[in-house]
Amino acid sequence: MSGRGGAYVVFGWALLNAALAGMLLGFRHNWVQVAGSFAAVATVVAVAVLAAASSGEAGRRYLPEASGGAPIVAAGLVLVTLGAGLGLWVALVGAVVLGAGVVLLARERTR
Amino acid sequence: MSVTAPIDRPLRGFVAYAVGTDHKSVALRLAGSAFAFFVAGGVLALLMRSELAAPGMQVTSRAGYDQWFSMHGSTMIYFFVTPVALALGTYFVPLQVGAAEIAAPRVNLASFWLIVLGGLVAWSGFLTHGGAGSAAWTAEFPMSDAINTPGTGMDLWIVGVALAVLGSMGLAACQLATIVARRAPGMTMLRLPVFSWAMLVTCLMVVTSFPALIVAMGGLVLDRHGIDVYSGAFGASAYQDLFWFYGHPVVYVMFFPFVGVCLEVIATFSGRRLFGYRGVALSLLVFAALSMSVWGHHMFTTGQVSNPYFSLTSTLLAIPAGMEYVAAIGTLIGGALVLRTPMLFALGFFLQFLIGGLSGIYVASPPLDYHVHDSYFVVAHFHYTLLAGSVFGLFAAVYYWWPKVTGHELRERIGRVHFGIFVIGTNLTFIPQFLLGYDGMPRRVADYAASTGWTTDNAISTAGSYVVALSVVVFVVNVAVSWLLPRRVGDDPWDGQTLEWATSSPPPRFNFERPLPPVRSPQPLLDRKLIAGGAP
Repeated sequence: MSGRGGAYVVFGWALLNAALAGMLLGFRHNWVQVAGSFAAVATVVAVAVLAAASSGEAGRRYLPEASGGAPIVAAGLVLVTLGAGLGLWVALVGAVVLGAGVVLLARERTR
Repeated sequence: MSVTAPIDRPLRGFVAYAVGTDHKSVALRLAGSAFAFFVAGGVLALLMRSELAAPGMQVTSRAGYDQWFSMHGSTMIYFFVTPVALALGTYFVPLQVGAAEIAAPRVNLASFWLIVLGGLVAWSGFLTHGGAGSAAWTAEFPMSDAINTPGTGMDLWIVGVALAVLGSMGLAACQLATIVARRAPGMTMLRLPVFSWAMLVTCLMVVTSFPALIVAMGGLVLDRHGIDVYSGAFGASAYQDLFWFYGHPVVYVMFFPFVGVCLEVIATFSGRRLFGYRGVALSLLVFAALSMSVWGHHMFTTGQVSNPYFSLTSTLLAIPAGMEYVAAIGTLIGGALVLRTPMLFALGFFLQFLIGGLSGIYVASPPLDYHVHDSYFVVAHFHYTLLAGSVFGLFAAVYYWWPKVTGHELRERIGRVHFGIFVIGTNLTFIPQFLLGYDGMPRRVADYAASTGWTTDNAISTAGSYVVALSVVVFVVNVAVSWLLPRRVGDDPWDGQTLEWATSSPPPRFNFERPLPPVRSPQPLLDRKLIAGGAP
């Protein structure tokens, strides 16, 4: 099925959120609350646009049985974020692991 | 649409666990990992209740208790209920919409690993010198800054939570893409099963609100390492705005999937279509939108939010919630009810969640909230929605879908015992906590004076917590007995209504080997049975 049906639903939800965010402007508010509310609306609109662009016509698609790159990317992200608490060296190791994972993922997708 | 994948030989053992991309396998690994975190968080709960059973510090120190309640709440929310709710969707959304696989299976796999590793990182805080994170599951500033909660354990908590939330976003994005773009021919949005509708709005909330938590945690890490982010007159309030912008929708992320599955269970075990399907779809959308606009009710007592606005939006939540209850009751009336274990848990979900929901209306009123804010009343409120609510829905899903996942059944008699003990345990634990909170017992305290008169209610609540633990043991026994002495059931033991029951149990690698039935309603299998003349 085409993504248009889903796009209508998601866009409708964006309108609901926009109405509620707009209502906030009539009450006491601060910039963090307004920014957060309308950033959420913008995110939903972006999701609706992506949904509308998806055709649903996948044809013959290659579906992987396994992916070594995915857990390595996850491990790299873990190490990079741990660097924020444990030190730069952890983040650097994580960046190397993350890079290796991305390369592996790219190779998997071109098989 | 045809799909293909080169399969040399089936993956087994640790290799399959680490790198297998089948959405069903990922979902089962995630659910199993989440259950392990549930047990760990549950042990912390039993320790906490053991400490509070009587006045005086009998089990741990105040600093130790701070770590226990912080890690208990964090584990249950970030590493158990949210992941297991998303795991249900990861397994069943592709099946229900007639897809061969989830969209972006590698992203799905990476997201699973982020959640598991995030949980392990957070728990590794217990191994550090200062212990695990101890600023509650909310890590409110300045309680969570480097002065008030020093040490590596808090940093590990921040990193672990951020990773798990990032992983949850990945899972949600995959399910959202599957629902939008991978539906079977004929399955328009208004023919989507109600569980898939619930997952759609759940995933929308995840992708729009969860980034706020990442931002909040990023700012907290910077602040703890010398860069003033939350300092200044509005700093602490800004943290709370960011955190609760995630923190309220997440409780609905932990609720909607179970509403969806319980409505499906009620329809199936009533032998009829869901009453008010379109109303339920609309109510889910409205409910989710409102959930994005009520976060300030957690901040009524700060004086930094518009109490009228957030009280209004919070009270409005009763309308879509009521619509869902009308749908459930309307489906039950006139149905041919079959009170098997999934149905018992689904009914228990709606009844017990009602207590949590009604107490939520109470705290949606600022003057009433001022009295019970940060008291055990609030603790009882959210445990009724989450444990006595959502976990009932989770067990309904487990008993309902276990035959589909394994091809075997869980024992009915043991399931009824599990249900009965769980009902007794949850009510015994949390009714006294309403009374304690109303009487003024604050939350997050390790001890209380004997002169407060809180001893009896605390003792009863502690006894109830052990009954809850017993019910979990009974469930594990049921799983073990069913695994060791399997009883094979057919592909559709419950006379299901949705597409997952049209395939074999367990489903094959790409979900459907037989042609799909035509999709002309949200209940395509029920339609097929009616046409064939064999429907109940």
